[in-house]
Amino acid sequence: MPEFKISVVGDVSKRVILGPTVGIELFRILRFSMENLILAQLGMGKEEENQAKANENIYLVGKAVGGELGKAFLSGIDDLNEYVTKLREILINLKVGILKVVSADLEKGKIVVDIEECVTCVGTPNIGMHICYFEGGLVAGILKFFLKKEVAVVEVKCCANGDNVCEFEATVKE
Amino acid sequence: MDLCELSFVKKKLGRFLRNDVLEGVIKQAISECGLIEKNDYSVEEMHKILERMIGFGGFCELVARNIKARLILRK
Repeated sequence: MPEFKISVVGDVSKRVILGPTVGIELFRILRFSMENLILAQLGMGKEEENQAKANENIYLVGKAVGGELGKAFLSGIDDLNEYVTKLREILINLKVGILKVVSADLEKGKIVVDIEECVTCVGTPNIGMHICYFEGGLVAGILKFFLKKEVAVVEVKCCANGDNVCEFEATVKE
Repeated sequence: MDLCELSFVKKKLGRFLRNDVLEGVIKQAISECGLIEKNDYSVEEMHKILERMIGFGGFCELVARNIKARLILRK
C-alpha cells in the first residue's frame, strides 16, 4: 500500500485490535451532522439556497478526497479500463460502494457510473431527494486526477429518491 | 496573518498534508506561475498560485478554493 500523504489520517495500522474501518452508522451520523452544522452556520431563511451551499461544500470535500485517493493509489495508470478496475477495488476496500461504469464516451466528455450499496444512501427512506454529494464529489475528484481536466458530476439516481442504485453523470470540461 | 502570505497558505494546507508534501506542491505551484518563493504576494500573484493549486486537485484544490473565495470576498 502506498504511503498515505494526508497527515490527518495518521498511521491507521496502529489500530491493532479494531482494525482500520468504522461502522456505516458512525459515517452517516458524522456525514449528516456536518451537513446540519453547515446549515446551522448559514442561518435561517433562504433554505433552498442554504441547502445548495451545504451540498456544494460536501461535494467539494468529496472531490478533495477523490483527488487524494487518486494520488495515493492510482498514480501512473494511463489506461481508463485499468484505472476503473483498480478504482473499483479501492472503493470496495474502503466500503464506499460497488462502482460500475454504465457508459464512457471520452470524445464527448461524458461518463456515467453507478455505485451500488452506496455508503451514504442505501437503505435510507425515499425522501424524494438526491443526497450523495460526497460521493459525486469523490467521482469528480478521481476522474479529474485521471483526465487532468475539470470534471463536473451530477447525481441522477439515488436510493433516497426511490432508486435502487446511485448513478452519477460526469461531464468533462475543456 | 494575511490571505496573500505564503505562511497562511501553508498553515491551511498543513491541516491536511504532511509538511514535506505541502512544501513540494507549493514550490511547484509557485514555479509553474513563473514566480519566486517569498512570503508576501500581490493579490494577482496569489490568485495565480491558487489557480495552479486548484489544478492539482485533492486537498490543495479544497484549500485553494477556500482562500480564493475569501480573497474575492475581501475586495
